[in-house]
Amino acid sequence: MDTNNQSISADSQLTDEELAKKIQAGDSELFSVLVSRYEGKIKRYAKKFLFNYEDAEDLAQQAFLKTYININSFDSQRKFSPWVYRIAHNEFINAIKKRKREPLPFFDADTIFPHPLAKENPLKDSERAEISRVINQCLGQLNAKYREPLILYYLENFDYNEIADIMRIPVSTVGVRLRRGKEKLKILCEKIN
Amino acid sequence: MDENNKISKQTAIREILEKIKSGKVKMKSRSYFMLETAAIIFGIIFILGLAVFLSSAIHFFLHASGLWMLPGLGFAGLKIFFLNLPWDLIAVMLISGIGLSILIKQISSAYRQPIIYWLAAVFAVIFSLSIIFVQYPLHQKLRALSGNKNVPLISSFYQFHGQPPCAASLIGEIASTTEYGFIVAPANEQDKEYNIIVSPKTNFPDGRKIKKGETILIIGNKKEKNIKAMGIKKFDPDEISLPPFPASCPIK
Repeated sequence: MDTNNQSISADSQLTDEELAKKIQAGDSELFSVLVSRYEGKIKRYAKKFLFNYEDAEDLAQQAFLKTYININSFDSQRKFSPWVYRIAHNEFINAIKKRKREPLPFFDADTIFPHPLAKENPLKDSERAEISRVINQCLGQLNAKYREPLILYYLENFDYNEIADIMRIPVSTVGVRLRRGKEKLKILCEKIN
Repeated sequence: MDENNKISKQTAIREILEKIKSGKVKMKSRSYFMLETAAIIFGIIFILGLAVFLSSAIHFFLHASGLWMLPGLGFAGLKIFFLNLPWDLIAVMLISGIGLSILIKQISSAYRQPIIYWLAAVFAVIFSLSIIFVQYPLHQKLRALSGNKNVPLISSFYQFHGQPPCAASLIGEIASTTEYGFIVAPANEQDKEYNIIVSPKTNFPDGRKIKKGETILIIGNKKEKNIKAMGIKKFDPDEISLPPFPASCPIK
């Protein structure tokens, strides 16, 4: 019993990347540690992004299964977090496309040209908290294209490069969508309140 | 509520682990992803090769047909130039370049840059490689082969493209000079002569000193055996080669 507890405790000290490496080597049991670390985050991401989908939690679970299936494609030299969110992003986008509840353009003009003004600026904690509150109140009204980067930046605390990796869009486009998303959110919130 | 959340979390984790243990969900092997990457790399090499081949073929056809000289003959020449460009090859080359960009995006972080940047990089690579490729006489040899034998694909490819520009143009040798211009014997029509009428509006990019025996390219309006020249340029037969097969659109 002690050995088991010691083993679990030792595993919980490992980084996500180290755990992924061990799972790739065949230690599938350790996948439960990764799931327990990310379950809350991915479910929150699912519920915010797919706000009116009753099966958001099922889709989050599906994302974890896809993570396990594709774990051997993960490069342990890179960060695990954006990689697992990328898999979740793909699952959620596929669900939106299948159910056709929201328009999702095949091709986005935002990704063609650079946007030199859209640079990342560090936020104060108070600013982040205020924007997070507003997002939680009015997010449901916003288009998926702007909703997702707002969730990833303000609620999941990813930076521009990580969001670019999750959504597979240019880094400058992330900045543009955040700026436009905030502007639209402001208008929507003013209408509601 | 915390206790309920804990139980719900444990249930979800248990469900996922049960699916893994029961074999309902299986990890894809490392070799699967290696093969996938290898297939993408092979695709990139193949499409790059195709794009470079097409780009160099377009370059070859423009020179071999004399088409590249036409923009220098004024607006009329420019019009014929655009009408006679190998648009089918250009379209396939552009589609190849876009396909190449999509494949490169799969195995690199090229998506972090705006599309215009990596499209420009892809086409810069294609054009640079095609300039190197053009130094080797592959297209000349394949074109000569297509004239001698009916080789599948190659024959039709080289016979269809690289023809001298049809209609409103003529390549021929100056047989004699006249009061109004020249008499020209066309290169691809035997026992025929055309009366070339030169006016003050005729464009001479190489200068007006043209003499008997020289081969020239003429564009202009043709009526029976008279051609009112809009542009006349010296034609270097070493640089521009007529195809080793009958022209598909003989000058009429």
